[in-house]
Amino acid sequence: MEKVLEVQNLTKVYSVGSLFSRTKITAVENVSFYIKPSEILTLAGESGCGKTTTAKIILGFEEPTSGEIFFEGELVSKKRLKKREFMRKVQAVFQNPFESFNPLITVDDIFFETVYNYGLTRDRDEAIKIIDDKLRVVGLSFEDINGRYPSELSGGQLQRISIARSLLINPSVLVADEPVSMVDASLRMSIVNLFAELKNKVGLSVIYITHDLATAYYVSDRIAIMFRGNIIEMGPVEEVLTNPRHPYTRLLRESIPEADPQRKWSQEITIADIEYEEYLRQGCKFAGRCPMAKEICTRQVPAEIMVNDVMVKCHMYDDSKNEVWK
Amino acid sequence: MDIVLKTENLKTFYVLESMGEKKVVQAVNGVDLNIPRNEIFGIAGESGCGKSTLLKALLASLEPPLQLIDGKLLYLVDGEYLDVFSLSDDKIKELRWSYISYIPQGSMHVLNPVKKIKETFFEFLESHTKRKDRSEYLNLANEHLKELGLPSRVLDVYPHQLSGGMRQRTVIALATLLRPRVILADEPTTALDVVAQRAVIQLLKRIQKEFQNTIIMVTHDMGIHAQVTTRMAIMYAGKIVEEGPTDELFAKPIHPYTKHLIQSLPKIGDKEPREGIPGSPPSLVSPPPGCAFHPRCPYAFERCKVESPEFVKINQNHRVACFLAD
Amino acid sequence: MGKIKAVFYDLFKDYRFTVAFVVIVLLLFLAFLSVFSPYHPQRMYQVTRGLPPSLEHPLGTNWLGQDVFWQLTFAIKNSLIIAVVAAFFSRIIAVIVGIVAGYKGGVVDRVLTTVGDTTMVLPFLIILIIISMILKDWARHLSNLGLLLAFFSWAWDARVIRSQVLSLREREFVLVAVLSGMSTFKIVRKQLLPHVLPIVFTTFINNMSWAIGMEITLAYLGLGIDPTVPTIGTMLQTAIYRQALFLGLWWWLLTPIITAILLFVALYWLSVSISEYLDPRARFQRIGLKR
Repeated sequence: MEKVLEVQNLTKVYSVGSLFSRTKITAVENVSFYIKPSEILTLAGESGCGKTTTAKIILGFEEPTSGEIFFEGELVSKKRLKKREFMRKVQAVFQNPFESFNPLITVDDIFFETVYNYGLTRDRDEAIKIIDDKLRVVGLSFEDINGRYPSELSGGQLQRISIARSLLINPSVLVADEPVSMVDASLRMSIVNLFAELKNKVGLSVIYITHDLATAYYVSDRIAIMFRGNIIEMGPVEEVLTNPRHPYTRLLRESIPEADPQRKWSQEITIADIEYEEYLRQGCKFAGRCPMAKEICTRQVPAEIMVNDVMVKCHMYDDSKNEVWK
Repeated sequence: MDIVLKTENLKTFYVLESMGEKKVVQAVNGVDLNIPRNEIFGIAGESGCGKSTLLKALLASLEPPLQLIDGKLLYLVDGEYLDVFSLSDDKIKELRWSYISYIPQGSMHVLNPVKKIKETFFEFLESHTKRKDRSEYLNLANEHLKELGLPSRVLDVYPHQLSGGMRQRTVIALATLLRPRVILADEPTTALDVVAQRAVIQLLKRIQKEFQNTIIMVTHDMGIHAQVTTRMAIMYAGKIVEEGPTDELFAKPIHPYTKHLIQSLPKIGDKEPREGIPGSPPSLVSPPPGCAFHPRCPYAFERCKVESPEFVKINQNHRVACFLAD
Repeated sequence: MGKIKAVFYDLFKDYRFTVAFVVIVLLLFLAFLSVFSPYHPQRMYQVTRGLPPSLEHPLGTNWLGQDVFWQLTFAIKNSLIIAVVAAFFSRIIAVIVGIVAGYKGGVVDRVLTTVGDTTMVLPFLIILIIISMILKDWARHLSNLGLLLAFFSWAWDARVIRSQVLSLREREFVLVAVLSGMSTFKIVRKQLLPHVLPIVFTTFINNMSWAIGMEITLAYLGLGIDPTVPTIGTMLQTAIYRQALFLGLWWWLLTPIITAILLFVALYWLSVSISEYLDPRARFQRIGLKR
C-alpha cells in the first residue's frame, strides 16, 4: 500500500493558564494516520478537537511535542527533507479567504512569488501562462486577479483563488483547513467539487479538515473523527457515517441539521461547559457525556480496535469484536 | 394572528463617502415583513444579501454610515403599534432588551473577558432594573439559568473557560434575562461545531416555548432553518424573494433561488453530484436591473432582465416575487 | 497621484488636520526663510538692543542686539533638525527591533525585549543630563543631540511594533507567504512592513514633539546644545536667563513660548488626525466605508 504522507504518534502538549496555575493540555494525543495518492481524507470533529493543530504541525507551523511525519516514506525533519522541498509537495488552503491574502497587496503578487520562488520560470509572460492555467482549473482567469486587491473579490472567489495558488507548483498533498466554513452554503459545493475533480484528474491527495460532515461524506474517501486530541474512529467514509460505531460519532451524525423540516431533533443533548475539563479526563475523554459510559470508561483509555475496516477507540468493542454492549 | 413586528417598505442604505466619491450600498431595499407572535421566524440568504443589515434595522440600531432612507418599523408594545423610528433615543433604549433583544454572532465580545460571568449578569441587571440588591440579582440569574436548563456554575467562571457552545448559550441567557417579547439572533451558531450548534438551537427552542415570544433568526444555513423555524423569508440582494411556512417552503419551493438553496445541500447517504449556484451574489452598490437574481437564474427570460417582479400570493401564507409564479 | 490627492481630500475633512497642516507649513516656511537671513544667527549686537516689534523688526530685537524674527527662523529650523534626527533614528531602531523580536520570537525576542525594557526604566532625564555634561562638546552639535535623544525613545514603540508583528505572524496571509516560498526577509519587507508603517508614521510625529520638548528641557537646564545656537529651547533659556520679562522685552520671551505651543498643538493634532485616519474603525465612522 502506497502512502504519500503519514503521521505517526503525533502529540502536542500546550501549557495554559496563569503564571501560578499552569495546566498541561494535550491538544493532539498520539495521532497516527496516512493518506494515499489520489485520496481525500477528512479530519472531522468539533472546534478544539485538535484537527487544526494537526494540520499546523504537518505544515511545519508548529513543532510537535513528539511523533514523526513521513513523506513518501522519508522522515520529514530539518535534516532529512528540507522545508522548501517539503512545501513544494505539501501545500495548504486556510479557513478564512479574506485573511489568506494580504489586504495591502494585489492578489496576483503572491502568485508570481510562488512561481518565481519555486523556480518554475523566470520569465513574466511564462509565469502569467502558468498562473492563468491554474486559475482556469478553478473557473477563473489571470484577468480576474491581475491588479485586484482582496477586498475587490468575493469570499467564494478568494477561496478558489487560494486553491489555485496552492496548485501552482503541482503539490501531491493539499491540506485544506476548514476551507468551506466561511463560505456560503450555496458556494460550498463548487469548492468541494473542485477537490473531487483535482483528485480524479491530477491525482491530488487532500487532507480535508472540517466540521461539516455532510460535505465530508459527499467528497471524501476516508474519514477520521477526532475528539479532544484523539482519533476515536477512522475508516471509509461510507461506513463511518452511515453506520457510526463510536457514541461520539453517533452524536455528531445525529446533530447535522438536515434540510428537512419533517426530521427534527428529538433528543436533548448535553455539551461540555468548561473548555478544558474534557482534555484532563482520565480514560475515555467522551465518558462524561456518553450515554453508554461504564465504570471502565472513566478509568482506562480505550484501545484502538479494528471492527471490519473501521478503527474505533471505544470500550464497547473490547471483547471479541462484539458490537453489542450489554 | 397577532403581528408583533411590522415593516413597511423598509429601506436602509449604507451611504459612504470615500476619496471624494459617493457610494450607496442598497443593503435593505424595500422590505415588507409581518412577523407574528409565538413563532421562530427565519431569514435566509447568502452573505452580502443584506440579512444582517435587516436585523440591525429591526433593532432600530442605525449608526452611520447606515441610514434610514424610507419606510416604517412598527413594534407592538402593550397592544399598540409604535412607529419606532419616530421615537426618542431614550424610548428606544428602554425597549431594547426588555421588549426586543439581540443575540450576536460572536459571543466573545459580549462577555467581559476579565470578569466572571456573574459580574456581567449583575452589571446587566443593574443597568436595566430598578432593584439594587446583589443577592437578589444572583437569585434572578440562577433562576433564569435553571429555567433554561443551564448549569448555574457557569456564573462562577471566566468567559474563556467556557466551551464555545456554552459561551454562546450564556450570551443567550443574558439576552433573555428581561423576558423580551422579540429576540433577534444573527447567525447565532456559525462559529460553532454541529454538536454545540444543536445545543444552542435546543436552547432557543426551549426559550420560545417557555416564554411564548418571537425569535427572528438570521442564518445562511438551510439545515438550521429546517430544524428550528416555523416560518421563513428568503432574502436576495436586499429584498425578500419568498416567504412562507417553513414546511411548505421546503416541500414546495417556488422561487428558483429558494430551490437552489435547498437542493445544493449535500446529505449523508446520498453521493449524487450536486452543484452550487453558479456565479456570485450581486453587488449591492449596483444590483442588476429587473429581478436581481436573473444573471444566475436558469429560467430567466427577457422580462426578468427589465422588470422587477412583484409579490404573488401562492396561498394565504405563502408569497413569492417571481414571474414564474404568475 | 490621484490616490495621494484622495487621501488629502479625506484628511482635510478633519479641521484638526487642516489647522495643524497650515501651522506646520507656516513654520516650515519660516525655517526656510532662515536661508535669507540678513543677520548671523550667533553674532551679538548686530541691531539696536531691546526694540519693540516694528516693520523693520517684526518681532522686535532682544537685549543681545539680535533680531528676534530672524533668530526664530533659525530656531525653528534647528529644533526641527534635532526632532527629525531623533525621530528618524529611533524609528529605525524601533522597526528593526520590533520586527525581529516579534517575528523571530524565542531567545532573540527575550533578549531584545529585555534591552528595550531596560532603556525604558532607566531614569533617562538624569542620564541625559549626565551624558550631556560628560560629552559636552559632542552633544553640542544638533544632530548628535538628536542621536542621543533617539537612543532613549525607541523602546516603547519597538514594543508596540513587536506586539503588532506578533499578531500578524499568526495571520493566514503570512502562512500563505511562507508556503509560497518567500524568504523570511522578503516576508518581513513585503508582508509585515506595510502593516507596521502606519504606526511608524504616527509615532514619528509624536517622537518629534517629544524630542522638541526634551531639547527645551535640556536647554532650560543649561545643557544640550551650544546655548548661542538658536533653537526654541535656547531662545527660551536665553530670554529667561537674561531676564527678558524684567527688562520689559515681552516679545523676546513670548516668541519661543508661542512657537513651542503652536508646534506642540500642531504636531499633536497632526498625529491624532492621521492615526484616526489610519485606524480603520475610526475611519469608517468618519468617512463611512463598509467592509
